[in-house]
Amino acid sequence: MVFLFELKKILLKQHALPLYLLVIAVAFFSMLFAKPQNYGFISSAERNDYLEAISPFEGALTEEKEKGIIALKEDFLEVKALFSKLNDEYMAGNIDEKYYQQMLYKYSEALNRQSIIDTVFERYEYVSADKENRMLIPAENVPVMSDISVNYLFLLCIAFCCAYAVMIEYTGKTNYILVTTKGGQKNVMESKVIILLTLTALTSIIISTFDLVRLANELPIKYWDYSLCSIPHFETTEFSISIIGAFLISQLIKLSGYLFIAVSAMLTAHFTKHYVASVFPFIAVPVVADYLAEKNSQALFLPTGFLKGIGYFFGDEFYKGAGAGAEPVVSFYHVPPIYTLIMAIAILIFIVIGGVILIKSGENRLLRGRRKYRHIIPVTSLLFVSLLCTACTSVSEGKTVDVLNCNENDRYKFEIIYSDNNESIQVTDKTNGESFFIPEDVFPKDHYSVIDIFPTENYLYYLMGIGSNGDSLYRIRLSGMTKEELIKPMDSIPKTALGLAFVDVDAENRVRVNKLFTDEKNIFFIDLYGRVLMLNPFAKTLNDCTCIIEEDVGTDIKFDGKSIRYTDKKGVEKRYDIAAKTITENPLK
Amino acid sequence: MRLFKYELKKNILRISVLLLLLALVLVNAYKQYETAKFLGESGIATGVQYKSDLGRPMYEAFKGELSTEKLEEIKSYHEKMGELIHSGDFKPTNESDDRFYSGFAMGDFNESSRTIDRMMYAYTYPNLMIELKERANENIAFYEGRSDYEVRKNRLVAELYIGRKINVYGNYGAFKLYFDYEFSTLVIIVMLIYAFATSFTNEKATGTDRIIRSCHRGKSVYLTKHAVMLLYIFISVVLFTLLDVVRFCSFYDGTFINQPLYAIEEYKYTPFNITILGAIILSTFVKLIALSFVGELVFVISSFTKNAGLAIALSFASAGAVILISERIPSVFSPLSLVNAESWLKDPQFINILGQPVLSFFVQLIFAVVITIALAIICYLKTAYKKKEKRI
Repeated sequence: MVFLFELKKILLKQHALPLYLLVIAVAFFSMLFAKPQNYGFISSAERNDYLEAISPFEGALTEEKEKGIIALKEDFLEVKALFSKLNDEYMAGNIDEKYYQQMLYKYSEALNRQSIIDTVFERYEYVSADKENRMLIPAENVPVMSDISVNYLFLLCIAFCCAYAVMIEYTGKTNYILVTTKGGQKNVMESKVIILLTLTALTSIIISTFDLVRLANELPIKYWDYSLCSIPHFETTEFSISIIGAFLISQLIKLSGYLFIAVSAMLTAHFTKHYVASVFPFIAVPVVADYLAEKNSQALFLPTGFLKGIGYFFGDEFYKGAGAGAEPVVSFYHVPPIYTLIMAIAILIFIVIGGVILIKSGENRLLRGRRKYRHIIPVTSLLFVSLLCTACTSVSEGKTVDVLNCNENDRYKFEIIYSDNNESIQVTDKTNGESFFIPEDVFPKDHYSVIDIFPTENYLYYLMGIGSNGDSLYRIRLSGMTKEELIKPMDSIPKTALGLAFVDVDAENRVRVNKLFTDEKNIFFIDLYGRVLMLNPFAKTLNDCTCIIEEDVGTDIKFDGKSIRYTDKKGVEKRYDIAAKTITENPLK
Repeated sequence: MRLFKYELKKNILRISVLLLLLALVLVNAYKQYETAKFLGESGIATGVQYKSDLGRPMYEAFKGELSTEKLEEIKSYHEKMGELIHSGDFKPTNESDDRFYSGFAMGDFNESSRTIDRMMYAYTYPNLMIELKERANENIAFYEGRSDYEVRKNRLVAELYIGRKINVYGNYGAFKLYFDYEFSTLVIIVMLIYAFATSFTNEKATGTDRIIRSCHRGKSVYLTKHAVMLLYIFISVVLFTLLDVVRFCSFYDGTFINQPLYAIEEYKYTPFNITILGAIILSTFVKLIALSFVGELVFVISSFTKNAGLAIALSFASAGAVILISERIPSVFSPLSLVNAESWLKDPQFINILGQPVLSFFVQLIFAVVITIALAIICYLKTAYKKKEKRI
C-alpha cells in the first residue's frame, strides 16, 4: 500500500514520470536523428560499391585476403599507369582523339573507384599492423562507440527527482508523523529507494537500447563479436574484448554511474536536509570536470566519470612533440583497468550501503540512544565519497610509452618501451621475453632527442637531432652496449666512396638522413635527395651502404617489411622488392 | 543599506560559497596550466610541460623598443649562426655553450629566425595597413554608384586602420591565451547558480515574498538582490581576470601589456584601436554584461519556482541550453558569445543597419543589454510588482 502510494506520489505528484519520459523522448529523437554510417562516402552508390569491394576481405586477415587486397590495389595502379601513359601519348600526338575518348571512357570507371580502393587499402593497412588481434571491418569510425559525452538532461532529472523525493518529507515535516505510524518511515524510504533506483535503472536501460540501435546502424551486427581494437579509435586499448562486450560493459558502467548519482543525491538530501547540497554538487562536479578535462581523461578518474561509459576502454593517445622523440606529448592517459574495476566495486558497494543506510535510517528515530551516533553515518558517507572523488591523484603518475608505434612494433623481434619512471629505454626480446634496459648514458641528453628508433638483430639504430635539422644516425651494439655514430649531421664523405653524389642543398658533399626503416637485418634510410640507401648488417662505416633506389621516392613512402612502395616524380607508383632487389614499375608501362 | 548587508550575508558571505570559490580557483589554476600546456606557444614558456624556454635569453636581449639596429643585429646574428652550422667544423653537441643565447648554435639559428619574423611583422605593419587602405579605396571606387552600404563600409575600414604603428618587439603568448580562455567564465556561472538559484525560491517556499510585498518592500528587496548579484559578478569577474592574466603572464611575458592590441599578430585586423590592457578591461566589462544576462536568467527561474532543487536543476539546464543555442545561432543574438573575447576582438564584422555599417560587436552588446533588461523586468513583475487590489 505504502509502495503504491509512494509510486503514485513520485511519478505523478513530484513529476518524475514526465521528467523521465522527457529524458527518454530526447534520447529517442537523438537516436532517430543520429547521422547514419556512411563509411566516408557521401553517395549511396559509392557506399554500396565500397561495401561490395571490402566484403570479401572482412574478418581475420588471411594470406589469401591479403593477396586479394594487394591485387586489388595493383590492378588499380595498373589502370592508373595506363591512363597516365594514354595521356602522355595523347599529349605527344601519337593517338587520335577518337581512340583517346574511347580509352578514357574505358578507364574512367576504374579510376573513379580510387577513393574506394584507397579506403579498402587503408583498412587493410590498419589490420595488417596487428593481424592477430585486429579484424577487418568496413567502418573506420563508429560514433556511438567513441561518444563519451554525459547525458546532462538525465543527470539533472536524477539529481532533482531523487533529492525532491527525500526532501519533501522534511520540508513538509511529514517525517515526524511517519515515524509514529505503523508503516513508519522505514517503509516509506524503502519504497522511495526501490522506486527511484528502478526508475533510474529502467530509463538507463531504455537509453542503452537506443544506443544499441544506433550501434546496429553504425556497425552491422555481424561485426559485433570482432575484437574492440578492430575499431581504429581503440587502437591502443588495453582490453581484449569484443565490440559488443565493450559496448555492454560501458552501458553497465553508465548504469552504475546513474545509480551512484541517485543514491548520493538521496543520501545527501537525507542527511543535510538541504536542496542545494543535494542537487548542486551532482550537477556541478560532472560539468566542471567535463570542461576541465576536455582534452584529457581526468574526469574518468572521478566516480562521476562513470557517466561517460566507453571512455574507460580508450587507450593512450600521444603524438611526438617538436624535438621530443623520447618524450611524446601524451594527450590522453588511459584509465588503468584495475582502477576501473576497483572503482566499479566501490561504487556498487556504495550504492548498496547507501540504499541500506537510507532504509535503515528510517528506524528508531525517536530512540534516544541513536542521538550520540547520529553523525557517524553522514561523516562516514562523506569520507567515502571524498575518497572516491580524490582517488585519481595516485593513478595518473608514471607512464610507459611505446617508442615505436603499433605498426612498427608488430614487425620487430624486439619491443622497445620508454619508461618514464626510470628514464631509460627497455628492450624486450619478443621471442623469449627477456628484457634489458639501455643505460641512460648511451643516449645523449638535453634538447637533442631521439627522433626515430629501430631494432635489428644485432643493433639498435636511432636517429637523433632537433627536428629535421642536424640529424645524426647512431647505433648501439646490443651485445656490448657500445655506441657508434654512423652519420653525423653534416658529415662529409668522398663523392666517389659509394659511387653516389651525397649533396646537401647548401654545401656539397654532405649527408643528411631524412627517414629510417628496417627489415630487422638491414637499416634503410632516405637521403636528402629522396634516394633510398641500405646499410649492410655489420657495416662499420657509412661506406658500407648501397643505394637501392636511385631516384627521388618522395614523401609518400610505405614500407611493409618486404617491399618499399613509393610514387616517383612522374606520379607513377612503384614497388621495390627487398628480397628480389627489383623495382616493379607499372608493369604495362 | 541594512538590507544590502543582509542580502550580502545571506547570498555571498557564507562559508560554503567561499569554500566553493577557493575550490574553483584551484581548479581554474589547473586548467590555466593545461591550457598553456596544450595551446600555448613554445620558445619562452616558463615551467610548462612540453614547452621550451630556450629562446628566452635571446628574447630578453632583443625585446623592447624596435629599431633598425636591432633588426640588423639579429639578422646578422642569424647569418652568423647559419654560417657556423653549415661549416665543416661544426659538430652538434649536447653540452650547453655560453657563447650562444640558448646554449646551442642550432637553437640560436632557429630562434633568431623566429625573432626576425616577429620583428618584421611589427616593422612592416604600417605597410600592411597602407595596403589595406588601398584595397578599401579600390572597393570604394568600385562600389560608387552601385552600393552605398559597401561604400560606407569600406570608408569605415579605411578610417579604422589609419595611423597604426608598432614600436615594440615583444612576446604576447600570455594575452593570446587569455583572450581565448573561457573556463573561468564557466566557473563564475557555476558559482552564480550556487549562490543565487535559490534566492527568490526560498522566499516563495516560505511565503516571505508575500509579506515583503505587503510591506511595500518588494521593490527594495528586488533591487538589493540585483545589486548583490551584480557586485558578486563584478568581484568574480575582476578576480578571475586578474588570476588568468597574472598566471598566463607568469608563463610568458606580461611586460608589453600597454602595447596596441594589433601588436599581437593574430589580432592585426582588430577593429579596436586600443592597448592590450584596454582590451582586457573591455573584455572584462563585456563579460560583466554577458554574466549579468546569466544572473538575470537564474533570477527569473528562481522567481518562478518554489522548489530549490528544481531551481538549481533548471538553472543548469538553461545555462546549458544557452551555451548550446549560442553555438547554433548567429553570434549577434547570443549574449553568451561575448564571453570569448577572441571572437569579437579579432576581426571586424559589420552589420547593415538601415544602410549604415555597424560593428556587429556593438549590436551584440546592445542585444545582450536589452535581453538582460527584459529578463530583469520579468523578474520584477514576478517578485516585486504589486497588483492593485480590486475594491469590493
